Amino acid sequence: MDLSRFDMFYIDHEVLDSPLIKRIKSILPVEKTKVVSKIPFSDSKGDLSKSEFDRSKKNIFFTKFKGSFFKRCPGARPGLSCCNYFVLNLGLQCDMNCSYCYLQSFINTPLMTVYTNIDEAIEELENLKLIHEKDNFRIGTGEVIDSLSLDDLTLYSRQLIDFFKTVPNWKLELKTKSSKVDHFLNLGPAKNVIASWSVNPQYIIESEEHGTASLKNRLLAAKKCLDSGFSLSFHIDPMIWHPEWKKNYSQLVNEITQVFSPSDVLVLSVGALRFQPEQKAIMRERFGFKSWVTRAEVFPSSDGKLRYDKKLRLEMFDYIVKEFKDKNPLWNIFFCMETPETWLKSTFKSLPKSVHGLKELFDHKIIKNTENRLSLRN
Amino acid sequence: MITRYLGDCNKSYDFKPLVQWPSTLPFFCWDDELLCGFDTKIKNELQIVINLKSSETQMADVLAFIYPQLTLPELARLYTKLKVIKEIKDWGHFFSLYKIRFCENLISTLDILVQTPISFQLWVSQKQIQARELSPLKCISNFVDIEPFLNKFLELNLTRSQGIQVLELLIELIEMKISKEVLHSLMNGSPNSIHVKLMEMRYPLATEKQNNVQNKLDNIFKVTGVEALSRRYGDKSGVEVKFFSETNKDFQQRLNSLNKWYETNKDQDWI
Repeated sequence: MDLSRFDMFYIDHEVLDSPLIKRIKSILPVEKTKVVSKIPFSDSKGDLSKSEFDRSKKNIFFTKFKGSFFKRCPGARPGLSCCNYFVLNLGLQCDMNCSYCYLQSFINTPLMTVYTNIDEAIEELENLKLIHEKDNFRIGTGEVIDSLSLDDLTLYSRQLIDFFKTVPNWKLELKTKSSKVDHFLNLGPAKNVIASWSVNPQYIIESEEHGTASLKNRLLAAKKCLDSGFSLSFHIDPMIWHPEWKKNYSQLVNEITQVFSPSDVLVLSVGALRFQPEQKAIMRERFGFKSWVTRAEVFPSSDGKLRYDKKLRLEMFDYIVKEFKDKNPLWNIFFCMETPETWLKSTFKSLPKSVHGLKELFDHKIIKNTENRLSLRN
Repeated sequence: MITRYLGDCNKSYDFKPLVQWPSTLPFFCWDDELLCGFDTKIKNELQIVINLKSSETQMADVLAFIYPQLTLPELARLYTKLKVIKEIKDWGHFFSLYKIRFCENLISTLDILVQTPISFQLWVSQKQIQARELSPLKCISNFVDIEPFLNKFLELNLTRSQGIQVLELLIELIEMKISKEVLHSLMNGSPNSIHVKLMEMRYPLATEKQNNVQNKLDNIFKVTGVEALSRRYGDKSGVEVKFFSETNKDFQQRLNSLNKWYETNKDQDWI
């Protein structure tokens, strides 16, 4: 792993004895490593400024997470069709730099945090397993940090895969824009471990997804995972409008379908650009107006986020669904963080629960039961 | 009480406060720096000025005592003057006295605000614009590009909310490299029409689609006493139908006419 791109590695003195720190301390550059007794930059208050956010990408803080690792996906809000998803946050902030990243309006500490107590996260999962082993949980680790971009340092995927192999009914999604998979391939096969890529046309990767792996490398990594016995998912999210969007997204579909067939890909989701209004300011400052994200024609939607015109979103979704279905009607696609109205007006003409292949993903009885049990437990 | 003569005081802290210091009140200084009454014309240089500096007082508290209310541009100018000297150690405390959270975002806004023309700063003061509302200023790559538009902007007599919106649109369009000539041509007319023109320029795709719908409606929508307008509400665009009725019968007639029109045109791509 290239550690030279980081300015500092701060280690909470309480976690010096953690297995992660014991293992990696010798490879961290001495002159850039500091043991601290309080959170660095903790005097920083309010929304992060441009320079604070930029700094947060270059400073890693290793500490212990004090709380419950296991949470419900934030997509599960009134007014949105959500796909029954739970999240396991093993860190906060990402070392890549996408112009549309929602963390820009989410994080308030100018640091990238890596939680060292993965053993406690797994213990939490072990306890859940005692009650929910037969339930169909989908758990992702890539909500507020990329699942794999730092994984060649932490090797957390290996511990998680080992655990998930013992609970075949549960699915683990490792969501990434990196191509770092080599370090866990030998743990396959594990069909309930989904190596998952957020993908966009190479043109958008170059203009908006800075510091991420190229499309070619993401698809190559996906192929390696498939060949090693892992499941795959792709998220074409966020789709970003630009003058050549049809050509470029069509090319993206070609590149995916040339390598993978519908049976190779467990989940394929599509979403369009969306962000909180307050995110606009920092995006403008950080990326200027060459970005198709800051230039985007977005309007307030019913959930308060800024989105493309509804008809344009539908046109984009229908276009990509058609492109996939033209290649093979068996491709199953769902819309991420969209309103029920969008589902009804789209090619599907129905709510996700009624779409063949998506019923289980959107069955809210599963999530409600799980939530109830979790709240009883807590 | 330690005093000085006015003639012995410096005026390097003059941050151009908006309200003139009342001549009936005493003058204050911090050591040899005058803190108020910078623009008072006093011929007698032997005027007594009270020095408020002591080991028990903080400069931040003294300033808040002298100026219990300051607008954002005044604070920006004061902060710019004082940040070079190290008298105020805790800026968080100083800004909390004005109910403002001191953070890097605030600093960058203040730094930019002091670079704007004083007439613009005056507008910000008058309209009591907050730091967050000035965030578009922070994406300006070259201040020279915006200056002529800021002057024009000030001539428009915009309300507070119009001003905030127009400022954001204007800056975004400048940064999107829309030509100065085009932008100048949009800056004429009533405040509402300027806002509409800037919106159309900022959202060309949505505008084109909306105009297309309106053009189609203009051609095919012929229902007496009923108006059909292409409209946008947030991320939804569609057609708004308006009519006025005085009686139930009148209302029913309009609905019947609308229904008749719809039945004839429902297969056309008009919405």
